[in-house]
Amino acid sequence: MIARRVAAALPVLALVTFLVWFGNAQATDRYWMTLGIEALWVATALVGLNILVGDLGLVSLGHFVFFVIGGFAGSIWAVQAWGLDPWLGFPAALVVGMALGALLALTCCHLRGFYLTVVTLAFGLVSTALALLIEGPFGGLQGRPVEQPLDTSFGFLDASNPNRPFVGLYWIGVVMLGLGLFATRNLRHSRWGRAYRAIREAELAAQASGVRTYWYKVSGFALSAGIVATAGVLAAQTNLQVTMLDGTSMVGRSFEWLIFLIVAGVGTLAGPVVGAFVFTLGFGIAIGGATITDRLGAYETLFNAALVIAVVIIAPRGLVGALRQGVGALIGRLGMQPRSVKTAPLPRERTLPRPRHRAGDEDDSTDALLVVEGVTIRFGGLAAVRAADLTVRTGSVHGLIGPNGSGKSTLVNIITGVYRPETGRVRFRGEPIDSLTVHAISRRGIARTFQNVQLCRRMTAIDNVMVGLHGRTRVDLARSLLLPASLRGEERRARERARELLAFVGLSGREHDRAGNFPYADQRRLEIARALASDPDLVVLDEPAAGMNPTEAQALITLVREIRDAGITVVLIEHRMEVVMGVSDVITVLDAGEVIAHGTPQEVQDNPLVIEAYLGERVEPDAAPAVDAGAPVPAGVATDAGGAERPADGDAVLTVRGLAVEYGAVRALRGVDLDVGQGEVVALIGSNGAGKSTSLKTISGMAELNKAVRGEIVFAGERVDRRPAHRIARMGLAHVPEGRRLFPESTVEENLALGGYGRADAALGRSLDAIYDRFPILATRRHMAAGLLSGGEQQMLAIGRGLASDPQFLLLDEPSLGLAPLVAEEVFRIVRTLADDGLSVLVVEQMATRALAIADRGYVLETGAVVAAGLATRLAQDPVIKRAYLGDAD
Amino acid sequence: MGEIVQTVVYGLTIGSVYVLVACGYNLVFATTRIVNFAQGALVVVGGYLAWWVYAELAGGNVPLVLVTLVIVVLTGGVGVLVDLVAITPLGRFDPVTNISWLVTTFAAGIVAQELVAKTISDTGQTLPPLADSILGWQGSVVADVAIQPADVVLVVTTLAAVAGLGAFQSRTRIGGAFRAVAQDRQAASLMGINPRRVVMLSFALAGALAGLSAVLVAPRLGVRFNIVLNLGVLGFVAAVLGGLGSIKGAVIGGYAVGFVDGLVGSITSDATAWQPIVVFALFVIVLALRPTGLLGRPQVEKV
Repeated sequence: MIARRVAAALPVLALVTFLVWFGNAQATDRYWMTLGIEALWVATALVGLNILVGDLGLVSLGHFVFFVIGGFAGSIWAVQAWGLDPWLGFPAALVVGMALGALLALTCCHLRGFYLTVVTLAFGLVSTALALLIEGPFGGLQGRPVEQPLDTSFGFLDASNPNRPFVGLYWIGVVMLGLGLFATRNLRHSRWGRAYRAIREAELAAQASGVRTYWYKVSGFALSAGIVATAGVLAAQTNLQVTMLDGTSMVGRSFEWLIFLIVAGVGTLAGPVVGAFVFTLGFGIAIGGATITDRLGAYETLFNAALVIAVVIIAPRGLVGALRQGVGALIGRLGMQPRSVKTAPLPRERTLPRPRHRAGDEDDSTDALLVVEGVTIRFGGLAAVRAADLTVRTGSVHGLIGPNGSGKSTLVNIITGVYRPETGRVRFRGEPIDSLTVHAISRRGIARTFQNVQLCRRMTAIDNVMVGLHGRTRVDLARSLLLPASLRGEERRARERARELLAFVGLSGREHDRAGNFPYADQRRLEIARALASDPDLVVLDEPAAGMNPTEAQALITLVREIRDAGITVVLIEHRMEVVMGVSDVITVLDAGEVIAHGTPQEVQDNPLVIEAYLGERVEPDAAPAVDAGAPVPAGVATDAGGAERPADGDAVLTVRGLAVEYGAVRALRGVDLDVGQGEVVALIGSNGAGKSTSLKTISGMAELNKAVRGEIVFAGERVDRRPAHRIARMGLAHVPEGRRLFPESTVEENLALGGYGRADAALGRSLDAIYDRFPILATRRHMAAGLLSGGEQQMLAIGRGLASDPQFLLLDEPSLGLAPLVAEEVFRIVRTLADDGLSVLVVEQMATRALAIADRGYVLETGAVVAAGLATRLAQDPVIKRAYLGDAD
Repeated sequence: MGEIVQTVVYGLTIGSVYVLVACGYNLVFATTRIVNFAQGALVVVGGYLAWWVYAELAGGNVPLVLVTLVIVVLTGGVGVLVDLVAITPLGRFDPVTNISWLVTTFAAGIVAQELVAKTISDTGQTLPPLADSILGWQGSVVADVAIQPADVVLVVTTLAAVAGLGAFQSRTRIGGAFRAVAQDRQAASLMGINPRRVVMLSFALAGALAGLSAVLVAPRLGVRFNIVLNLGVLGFVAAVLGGLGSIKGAVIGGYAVGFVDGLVGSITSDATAWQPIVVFALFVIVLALRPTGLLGRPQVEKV
């Protein structure tokens, strides 16, 4: 612990030592002193820019304007026009910079990515043009002199040094940079900094956590501009002259700063300092006095540009990132693990400790908490939800089910404010909320998870949950920046609460892992923790069990019950019958955007409309939950399919031998052997994180892990383990990947056509017709953008796209994910038919019994290795499955 | 009257330049979701290459049309070099969270310019127009405004190039591959598309377009280095105004910027000061109404 603190303090110590040394050693050298001051103001400006680029993820090409305006405001206008003391120029510049930054931000913070960047660029051009037009306060092209400079004859400076004014400015710069670094360090550990980064990583999720993203962007923009403007005062006081540059130079200088920042390490605390000093002081020190300009002469620009490219390519995370990695590797080699990498998960906390109850909450448990009345919304002419009514009672678990594309997720998006209904009302605790924004609804007490997980992937688990706590914390921006002591109490309570919530969902001990590295099922749990963090009255869970194995699904049922017992009402969208039926008090059934039934699980199961529309006559609605997973197959799936004994022999289409994959420190696969014969369906099963998807990705070349792969993959008689994915695909291997990976902006038909890329038009046309026959709903959605399809429709499209190439071999990753039971069955039936016609299939599936039911053979993976293999029928009875698949269930 | 004609002529000719530069941005953006900040430099590199081949190598004794074909191929090659230097080495990256490309493309443009300055020429040069006359017509004066055959060649060639590009993107299979790679590179490779080759092709086309525009605009702007930033910046503005990735958008955006430019020039005496102000105002208004540009597709995201 102490060692870590010392290690963390080292960079600060190094910086202070360097600055003090430089200030003393170069005190009499005017050339180096002015370069040092320049480095300090550039560093401070980069600290400001880094808030925008590093934290908020927005790129500005107009920041140099704030720098120049800051110079004018702080050292000329403040003194000569407003009559302030020269020392007050710094705060004056800060205020003017923030105001101007806020003004610019107001016009562009609703824009995304490049669109915002171009507005800042245009701002750079226009402000210079305006300044030249107005002329007076800016002095035209000549600029204006600083007539009353700061008095920097501090008592402690050597009075005999003729260089004294510069030494004084140098120390002012040191203090300014120090303040800037102090403030950004504080920001980083505050609710504001987390909200900024959450906006960068997952804007919608930030909104749903109660962050008013637009205003937060404006605040970050203003702060960034204010700091840059303050840095401009130091430059003005040094040059004793401020000049407005022409528009293109202004943009050019802004670009230059971005380059400094990116090369040094954007988003890191040290980046601005390193960037400023490396670029400003150049390599002069190393070369021994002569600057790089002297040596290179006319080739300086060329050399610099080439060097910059080289650095960015060699050190993609910047100089600071490379340094950190180097130090990390060194520590690793010395055997000093900085932190235990893997801690055993602690037992889950069984009760959700609620903090204080919301004020004015009259806990009337029979009351209708949420009422949806006659809500309709259309996309591309199709009514996704039509005149839907829904009443959710306080304290209940309300299931929302329906076939794929029935409008469940759309309804949730209406309730949470993502979409605005065309007609109808949504009332929460009696008040209409249908015209409120996402964050306003979050603050009223509705929290949610997302069907497509929306986590801040590069942030730690605990930071993700603390983003959820945003609306429950209060500290304002000024105190966050300057008074870390005032944060401590609230921050500690928030951290404690986040820890409790992680413990509650079963993620104890993994607080500091990056969310993006979590297995899929754990990401869903993490989203639940984040949703609970806002202390909601109603939480909407959108397919929380997707990607979970039966044991995990069982645990989820318990979790949902405990959430309800803690007094939080739950709306649950889920396809997994054992989950919905097991935990819901009331269920509403949607079909084609309309509510077709409503009642207790028993009533819904007995409702003939529901059975017909959704469950299908053949499925037992109260199908066995987790514990029975090793038992026979759900009704309706052909159990005789895998009967034929067909062990892999010489004519295997795919042979995998000793396949090992490492990503970083993780050994994802540890020597996997498997074979798939012609016309064979082989199931690959195992728990989350066992290496199933990695196996498929490695076989198809999608993982692009060529260097990290050992072992041998032979497909159709050729070694393919070093081949790129597109060449393997052209050999006749289709991969329906994890997460579908459709082309969301292309239409259904375009997606299918891309699936058959390179095929003759006639043949492709026949395949498309066959696919439309198999999935009629796709035919009706032919010209709709794939991204607008429901989850289940997307899954059908993904499978259809895989078939469009008329492949010889199909890799299927979780084909039933997001599909209604009836459709899932249909998909499995199709797979079996295709295999009977000669297609070879390797399928990964969470529902082991279902996959084994249609498979000829199966392999069981456990922590990256095959632990069992054999005929599917035999494997289905094998206890090894239960262990590998269900984990060590209680 | 004279002012109106002046504005139209200026808008169409200068607008064509912005259209071509904007299309260059769009091509690369379509496959990579990055903005190739070397695009402005490519135009100038093309101009100097053309001057070198035409005036230095051939002594002005070959038809400029032939030279143009050579230059289009050469700048296409330079485009590929920019890809090889600035983008390929970055490997797989997310252009939104990793903005290294911003540095590498910009720097690659500087490297290309500097190399040209050091090897070919570092002073301003001129190129003759592609055609002195069209079917005997040698230019006219309408309401005191001179209209040259070169202006007509510029506008017509631009529109033809844009139409060809549009057909390529929407009608051909490779065009479909462009869109697939833009949306999900890995998934595209699973379809049998080689993403590296598609990206390289887009850079080659962007380079070729830069070469073409270099020869076309030389009679108007000359061959010099100090137009790089202006072309780069206003072409970028045009591309964004129309909607990044949309060819039609580039046409609308390019001519819009050109006309505003011409209009401001004919109304005020101080065009350099007013032009950016008006463009900016136009810009903010358009983006306030349509956050992804005039023809940009809104982002489709399922949650």
